[in-house]
This record gives sequence, C-alpha cells and structure tokens, in this order.
Amino acid sequence: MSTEEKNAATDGITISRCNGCGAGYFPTRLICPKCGSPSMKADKVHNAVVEETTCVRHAAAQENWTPKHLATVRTPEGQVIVVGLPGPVDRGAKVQLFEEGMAPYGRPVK
Amino acid sequence: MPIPAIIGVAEKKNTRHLEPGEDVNTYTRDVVAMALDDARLKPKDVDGLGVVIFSLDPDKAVDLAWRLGLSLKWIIQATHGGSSGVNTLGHAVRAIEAGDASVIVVVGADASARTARAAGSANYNRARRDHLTPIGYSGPNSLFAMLTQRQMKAFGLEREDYGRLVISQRAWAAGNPVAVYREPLTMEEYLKGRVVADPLTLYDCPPTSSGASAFVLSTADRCPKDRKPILIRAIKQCYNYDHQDGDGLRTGLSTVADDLWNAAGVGPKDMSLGCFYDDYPAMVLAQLNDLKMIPNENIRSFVREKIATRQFPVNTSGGLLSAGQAGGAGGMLGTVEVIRQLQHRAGDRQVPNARFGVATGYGQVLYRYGAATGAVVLERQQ
Repeated sequence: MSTEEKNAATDGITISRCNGCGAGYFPTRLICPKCGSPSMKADKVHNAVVEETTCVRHAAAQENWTPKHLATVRTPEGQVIVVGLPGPVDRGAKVQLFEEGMAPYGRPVK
Repeated sequence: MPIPAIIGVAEKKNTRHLEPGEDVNTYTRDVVAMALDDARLKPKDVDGLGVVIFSLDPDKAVDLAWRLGLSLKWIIQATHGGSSGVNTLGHAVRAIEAGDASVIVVVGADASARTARAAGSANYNRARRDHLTPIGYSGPNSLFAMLTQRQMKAFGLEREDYGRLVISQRAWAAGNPVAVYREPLTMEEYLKGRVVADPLTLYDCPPTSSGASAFVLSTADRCPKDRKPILIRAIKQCYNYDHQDGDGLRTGLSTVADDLWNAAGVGPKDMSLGCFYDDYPAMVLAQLNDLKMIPNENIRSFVREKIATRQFPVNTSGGLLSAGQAGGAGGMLGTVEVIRQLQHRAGDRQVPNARFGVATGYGQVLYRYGAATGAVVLERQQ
C-alpha cells in the first residue's frame, strides 16, 4: 500500500469495541476497563458534536508553522476525540468524522 | 525500621540556552556533586540512586551510576512525566524503610535543544504519535487550552483569575536565583501575551529550559548538625484513575486526598506552603481542589483571597511557569522547593516559620490530559 493510499481519507473514525459488553473506545484499548474482556473488534463512529475548540497559533521549534484548528468532540455514544478541523467551527456544531491514516478529523455538517 | 529523612538538596540554575560544552551529563554531574556536598557526604557513602532524567538516551540509570562513580545496592529510573519526582521519592522512602539502601541520591535533570524536545513531544507515546501529532496538536498546549476552557466554564473563572496565579508565581520567582524569569509581570502584560493556543498565552505555558536538581534521602542521624532533617509524613500516588474518560478537571489526587491527609496526621490548614505541578495554571487549581485545600471548591475566591495575597504561599520557587520546565528536573521542582522552605534556606522568598509543606507531581499526558499524579507531605523535624 502506498503512502497516498494509506493516508487517503476514509469515512468515520476507527474505534475498538468490546466483544463482551459492547463499550467503544478511542484510542483503542487491549482490555475493556468496564467489563475486563480482552476481546475487541474494530468499529467506526461517524458523527459528533463540538465541545471545545482551539487554534494552535505557535509551535515550539517550528519556523514555518501555519495555524491549526482543533476541537474536542463527543460522539452520540460518548467517545471524546480530539480532531483536526478545516477552519474555525463553533461550539455545539455537528461534525462528520473521517480519518486519514490514523489521524482523526471532523468537517462541519452542512 | 529506619525513618527516612531528607538531609541535603541542590539545584543548578535553569537556563533557556545551554552554554557550549554543557549537556545533560554535565548538569547531572554538577547537581549530584552539589547535593552530596550539601549533605556533607562523598560518593562512596551513596548506595542508592533514583534517576528522573528524560534525555539520558542511550544511557540508562546504571550507566549514569558508573559515570558518577557510584557503587549501589538500589537503583530506579522513572518515566512518569511530571510525577516522576514524587514517584521516585516514594520508592526511595520504602527502600530506606526496608533497609535496602541507607543513602539515596534522587537526581532530576534535562538539558536538550528545543528541537529535540519538540520531537520528543511528537513521539511521546503511541496515542499522541498516531492521533494527535498528524493533526498538528503541537504538544500539550492545545490540549490544556481546551481543558482550561472547560475549567473556566465549570468554575466560573476568567482569564484574570489565571493571571493572578501566574503573576503571583512570577513575584515569588524574584526571590529564586535559579529561576529563568524573575522580573515582575503585570496583569496588562499577562492579558496581552502572545496567544499560543486559544485561550493560552505564552505566560500560561511553561518555558522549556535546561536545569537540574537533586536531594539526598537517608536517616535523620546522617543530617548535618546545623540543619533540621526533613521528614516524609505521607506520600500517595494514583495512575490512570479515569481511563481518560473524564474532562481532566479532576486528577488522580482526588482519589487519594483523604488517604494522604489521614496518613500525614495533619490537614490542609496545617500547611505552611504548597508547590503544585504547574505545567499549566489550570492544573495548579485542579490539584489544589483535588487535595481539598479550597473551601467549598470556590476556586475563584481562593485565587483572589489566598494565592494573590500570599495568605497561602503557592509555588514559591516561581513554579515551572517562571522558574522554567527542565524536563525531569521540572518534576522535582516542587519537592525541592518545599524541602528548601522547610529547611529555612529559601533566602528572599522564605516563608516564615515553615513547618509543613505539600508538593505534587502531575503528568504523562496519555491522550487528552495527565494520567500520573502524586503528592507528598513533608515536615521540618522539631
């Protein structure tokens, strides 16, 4: 698989879902902290609501840094994920989730 | 059972820019020699070593012991971020009590270029490397920017409240010769500070620096006769208490606070001062709250009436925010400062008649906030 294929955007963000109790986690876990099951399967979450946002305006040891917009979002099921955004987004906005490689992103729902 | 006591302490001046020829090895060498000199001991007297250094690679603790000329019966190396200093002290206390060692040097140091620190932050652990670095999080600043927003909303705090804490710490730093920033800071300057990650400005983010600190843990009978030994009344720790499922406004200290004070036999009102790991102002307030040191959880009132007025001295070294964040040494900063205050050797910043003090460690940001915490209550022997 080429780097381009590996990092191509795909719908949803991958989580691990417990085969014992059904709880879903991001980032992935090895053993479920709720029921103790070591059996997990991959699943996806697709939508979330923005809870906080920030713009990273400066970065240590980066001379040509361009501002990055980030948000803490919560899925309807309760996973809390830090995602990259294409630009400023208001708190409370709904976002559609996608990932590039293992990097989680959100785009506003129109 | 031997009763552990801290009998010596040393710090090397923090700096933002290394001098030619200096590195983590020279910093470590210097501060270990200073601590042993302070305790009036020789390297041959040391039989235990605790290492809190994040830039030691490719060496390990035993490589360092070799280079320092130490032959040991006990050794440990901590990798728990900002809680490593308290964590290592906890292990060392048990080693003295168990008779595994009789004189332990705990050393924290880091001296590396900013580019190396940035690379380390990008590759800090699997979660941050895979899920945060690619989206441009640029280290913990952005994560604590969003945590600070949550705290402001939950506790009704304003930017000025954080400013009062930061300004207070800067004023304390004026009396600390090893601090990197010692000039006074005004509220106007604080509020106009360059924004790093909204709403945090450069004054809310700890300046990475090079520095080193060390203390010597042994028993009271080994303490130089012209100073009081510092005793450990209680030490408690907590790791990954909420699986990163919370909002980060509580730390693991909230789960061990009662045990800490019960074991210490004293309470928050008995403390002469407190030094709380201040990677960000919000976390100072969170830890104070978790340790039940803020009446009715009225954080805003506590900042205004107790911290800004110095009624309760907080981070009297200036904290990481003014003294500088020197990696592993940064995790030792609070403990070392409480030791100095209780020894009554804090110079211009001395808290009068200091007898009890509490120091904390906080760190190891797994994903959205820190997961490693510890607190120690120290006492000047009467």
